[in-house]
Amino acid sequence: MDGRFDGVGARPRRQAVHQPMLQMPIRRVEVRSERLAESFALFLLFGVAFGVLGYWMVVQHHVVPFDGLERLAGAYLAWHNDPPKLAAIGFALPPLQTIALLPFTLIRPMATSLVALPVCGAIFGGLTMVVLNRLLERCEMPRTLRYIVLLLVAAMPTTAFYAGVGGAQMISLFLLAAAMASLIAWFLTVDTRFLITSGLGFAVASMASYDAFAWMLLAAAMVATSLSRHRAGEQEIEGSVITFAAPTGYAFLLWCLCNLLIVDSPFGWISSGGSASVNATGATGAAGGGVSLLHALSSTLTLAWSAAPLVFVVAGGLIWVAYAQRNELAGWLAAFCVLAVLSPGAGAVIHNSVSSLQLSNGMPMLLVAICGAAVLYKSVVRWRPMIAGALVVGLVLSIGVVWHALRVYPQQNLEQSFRTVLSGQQPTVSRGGLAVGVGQEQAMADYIDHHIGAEKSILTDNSQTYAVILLSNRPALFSTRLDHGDGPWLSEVVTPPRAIHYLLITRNDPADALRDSYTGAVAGDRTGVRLVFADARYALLAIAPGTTLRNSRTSIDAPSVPGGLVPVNQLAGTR
Amino acid sequence: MSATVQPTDSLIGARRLTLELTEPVCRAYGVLPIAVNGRHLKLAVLDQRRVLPAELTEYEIEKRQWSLPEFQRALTAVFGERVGADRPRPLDPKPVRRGKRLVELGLITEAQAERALAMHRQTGSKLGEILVASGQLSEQELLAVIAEDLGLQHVDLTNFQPDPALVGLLPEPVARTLRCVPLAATATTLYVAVADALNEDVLDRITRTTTLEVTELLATRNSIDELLQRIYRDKYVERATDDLRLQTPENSADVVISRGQRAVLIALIVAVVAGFVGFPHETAIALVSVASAFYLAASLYKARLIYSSLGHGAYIETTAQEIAALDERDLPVYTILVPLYKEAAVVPRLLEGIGNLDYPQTKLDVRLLCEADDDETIDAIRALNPPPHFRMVVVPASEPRTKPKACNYGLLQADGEFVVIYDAEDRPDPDQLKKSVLAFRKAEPQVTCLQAKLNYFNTDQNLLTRWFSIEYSMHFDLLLPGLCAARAPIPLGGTSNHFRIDRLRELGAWDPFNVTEDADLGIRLHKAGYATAMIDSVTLEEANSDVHNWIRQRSRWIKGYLQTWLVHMRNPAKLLSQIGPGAFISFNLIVGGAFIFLLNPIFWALTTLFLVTHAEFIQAVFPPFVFYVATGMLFIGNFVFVYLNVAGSLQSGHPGLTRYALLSPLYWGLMSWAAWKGFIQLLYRPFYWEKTTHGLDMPTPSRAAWPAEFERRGADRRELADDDAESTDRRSGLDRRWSTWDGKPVME
Repeated sequence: MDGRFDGVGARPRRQAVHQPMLQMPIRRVEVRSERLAESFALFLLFGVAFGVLGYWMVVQHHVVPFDGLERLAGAYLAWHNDPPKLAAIGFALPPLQTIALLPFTLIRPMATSLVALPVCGAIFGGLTMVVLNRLLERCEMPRTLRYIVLLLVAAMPTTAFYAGVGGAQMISLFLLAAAMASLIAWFLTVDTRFLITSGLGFAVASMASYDAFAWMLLAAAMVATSLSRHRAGEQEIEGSVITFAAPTGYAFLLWCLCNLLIVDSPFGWISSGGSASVNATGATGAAGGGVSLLHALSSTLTLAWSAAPLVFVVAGGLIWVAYAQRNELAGWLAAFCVLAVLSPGAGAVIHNSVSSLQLSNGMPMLLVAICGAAVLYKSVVRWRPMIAGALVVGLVLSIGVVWHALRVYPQQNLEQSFRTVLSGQQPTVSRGGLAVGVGQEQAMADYIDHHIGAEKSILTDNSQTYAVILLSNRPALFSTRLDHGDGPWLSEVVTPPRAIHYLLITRNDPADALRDSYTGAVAGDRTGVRLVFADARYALLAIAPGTTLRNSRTSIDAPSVPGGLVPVNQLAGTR
Repeated sequence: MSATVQPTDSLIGARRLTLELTEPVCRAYGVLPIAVNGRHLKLAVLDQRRVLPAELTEYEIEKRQWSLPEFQRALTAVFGERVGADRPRPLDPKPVRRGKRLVELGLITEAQAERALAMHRQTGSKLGEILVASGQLSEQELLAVIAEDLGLQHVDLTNFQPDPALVGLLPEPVARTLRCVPLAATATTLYVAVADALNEDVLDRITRTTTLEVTELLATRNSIDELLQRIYRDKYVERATDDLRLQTPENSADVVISRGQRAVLIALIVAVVAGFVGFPHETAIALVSVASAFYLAASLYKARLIYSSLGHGAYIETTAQEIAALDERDLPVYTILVPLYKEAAVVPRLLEGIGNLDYPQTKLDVRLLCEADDDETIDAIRALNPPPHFRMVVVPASEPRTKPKACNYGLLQADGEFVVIYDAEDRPDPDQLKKSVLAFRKAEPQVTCLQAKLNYFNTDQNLLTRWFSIEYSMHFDLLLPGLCAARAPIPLGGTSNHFRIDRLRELGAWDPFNVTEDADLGIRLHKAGYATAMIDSVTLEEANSDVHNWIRQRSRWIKGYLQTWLVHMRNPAKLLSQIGPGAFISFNLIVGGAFIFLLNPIFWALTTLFLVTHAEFIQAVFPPFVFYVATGMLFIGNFVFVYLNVAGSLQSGHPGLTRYALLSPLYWGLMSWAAWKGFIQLLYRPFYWEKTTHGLDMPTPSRAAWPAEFERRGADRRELADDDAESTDRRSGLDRRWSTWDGKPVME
């Protein structure tokens, strides 16, 4: 009827004909209030559930992925470093993953207690459920079925895990869900507002996950092709595509500009390898070695099967409906399914690393499967009961498959430990050799907090020791890359200034630039540098008074303080 | 394909449908429901291709094409005899008689009389007025016939010199309202020029006041108006200039900065200077923080208003069928004020635009407001010899020489129930006046003004016109509706504001000292407890296509916004209590938001300097929180407004402009340039009106656009006016009871 693409070549109009502005205002207001109440209730329900689960995992069992810890530390230092630096959000990972945590790290205890992670995850998890509910409602699913679907999606082990630990995936999933829901709404109503919302959604999503750029390009093609097929004018097509794509284009340019200004590499972020899981043990949670095309394809299909097996069934259904009904929307969603499945494989080929094939990269596949199922339900009216049943059964079975994958899937980041915790045990190591817990970091942080007072007296590579800095809650003690940039900090590494009394290094991480410069110091093989405190992952070294540190370029005289250690009550580093 | 219609079938169908399809709707769309089954509707149509009424959008429709006779029979069967406006009423005998008389006199043909009578039936206007308005009869001829009818003399007041002593016998408001002017007197009789015979009560009043018997002399309405203008020119100028200032001096912009404001400003300057001397770093941070906070608040508010308008038009809806169903006999007189200055080139286009309005010409009171020293425009209008409902009002030269003063002058003799302002180059939607009448009838009682949308007809002329169009689309399609929906004070657009005249006069009309008198009036309106609403009707204007011309125009607008802000913020506490906190904040963010254009270049310069030099002193004045807000505003805030321009262009049906909207920041640079010009001018020439040159979209300012009809009518009227009295008498067969006036009565 009016104002819609019905998938069978009907001519679209931009807005529904004779859309009444003031007709039945009372009913419109009532419906709006009902929807708001429902959305709020869903947000509260799922948010609280994820939050409780997350608190239990993160704060009590210390199941904290280190990439989450790194983002949390970045957000914390953006506020509380001395001086505060927005650059702490970093330029390798998508910035929004860290920016989303900024409001929570404004309050120090939220950051240092790690509560910020589950709170952030719970909020985005709740929002994702609200968006999915709205999408399912637009596709005419009855309330009971919607709630069942939402419960099953929330109960998916990966959803629960990432929402609980505040994984970056939840942020990008919410944004992608909002963008996709708006895109589908635009297709169904031809209302410009949804086109705008979708464009903005993809733009923001691209700053949470770089894969969203590819999604946006596919969506832009969908917009242009659909309008063209329905005989929209050239200007309308151009205008619509510009309106849709401009936000993402701007985000891309802005991010390149920021990278150019701050790290002098406008496009370095593209090849930075995305989100690799790592922690201070040096384990990456990823298998080594190069990736061939065939390997990438088979791996990505394995990932899809492990993380979102429903996507295969849904994709098949969409292709069939697209062919049988000439249903344009179904066809495009099938394309999105293919994109979601192949993206991780493509990333593996580009970066020549299997890090792109993390279990977490299966979440978009689950999202697009839900979107596709909703569209199938709307499109094939006669078979709605069957589709509903298949969806529910499919989700239940998926839960089982994913639960199994938590144990056996090779590329993951503490997902296995989540399963272990749910089974009633306390994990110490997760699949891939990743250590569970922040005990080592906490111990080092406590020591520093109790024994060191002079500001900027500890030289450290914050890109590796961020967890210690965060948990110490005294970033002013540390002299890091953030303070004045990489260049001046590296000079300090070569020639530590007089104010530096300590060196904090990781024991096993090859990426630690400081450790690199002071090899042997932990073992006592470096004159003038004495081990003060160490645990399995970190070592705190003191520079002995009167010692000249000879590095490859120059040397310094260590400050003359009797006893080596700076007394705790000497908080001001006066020289 | 036809069907035998059973009236009951259709009635049952119509009732079951509960469509409430009225007869006018069925006639307008050429449809009639035949049968209904659930959502399936069988519909008889006259034309398969025609758009269907909104009431039918939810049905699956099966159309059956019927012939016109079948359709008419069915319509009659369903709805009975024609009712309402379509039912012919018995003719008033008076216009019939007059029509016959005019035909007998050879002044019009029978066909012309028939057409005029039909128009009389439709509009209720007098037959003579209809004939004169359509150029088939001259005013003088009509006057002669009416005079004969009434047994009165008629006079030509063109060169009449009034006697001040006599004029004073009738107070000006009486003379103006009744349109009567004392011309001469004897010991017992006062000769009064009138546009129409006065009723007995009025005659008695005048007799009692003057103690003289009154003899009426008929003159044309326009000539009486012109005479009154000649007589009371100084008084009218005084009223046009001083009414608001005397009525509510606190609302007049004749004083740029009040004493209180001056004191506050001096105190602020002293505090800032002292702060820079004692605590330079902290003072700089404080200033930057305040500016950033203001930026943020204004941007967020505007973005919220605009986004809330996307997809939701806050207009008073009027449908095509409602307009079609309007009874023109009930339409009020509508005054159109058109201030003109150096607009000779666009006068033909202006007359064409107004001539295209779908409104009975006899109910239009068009006042072309010309300045006394603008001979070019005055001559151009006279050369065109427009119909009598176009009245030229020559505004005497006096300070301030502004558009609002001219409008106030023109408003003094306005006849309408409603008034609208149009600019010289405006092309309003033909049905805008009817929409306005309908909207006022539907609106809440406090709605005093209706703002139509403005846009441009030369959008694609160049990049500047495209930017201008984008800005206007955003402003009138999104921002103003958002303000309406938020019930905030609305700074009105420059033209196409429709007012209830009585309330406009009550408010003191326009402030002659404010160069954005429209914005100011919108605020005063809100302060007085009245409201503005919007109508979904467009007036196309000429977008400025020349950068220098644009700068002049924009500098005046921004100067006017600053003036308006200063006027209404003379007593902030009082304003807050008058309009409430929400409206107070809105006013400061929208109208006060003009200050942002002054701040922009400063912040852009700081940003550029920092990016290039990384100067420490710049970093020092942006502490972390302020830095984050400012960075957010720079990168996100600016993008939001660029994007709203892009989205607004698409939303308002101008997809071709989206690519130009991406270049909006360059346009903002121009706006800041103009803002500083306006700000500086506010200090030394606050009332100076930067005149905008129009007609820049035309290849040559020429008569090429003159409609043939106007040309022909103008020639006809010139011919009639040139006829000597003898030939006129021969044609009319009238008694020659002309009287010419050189200050004394001449009776024949």
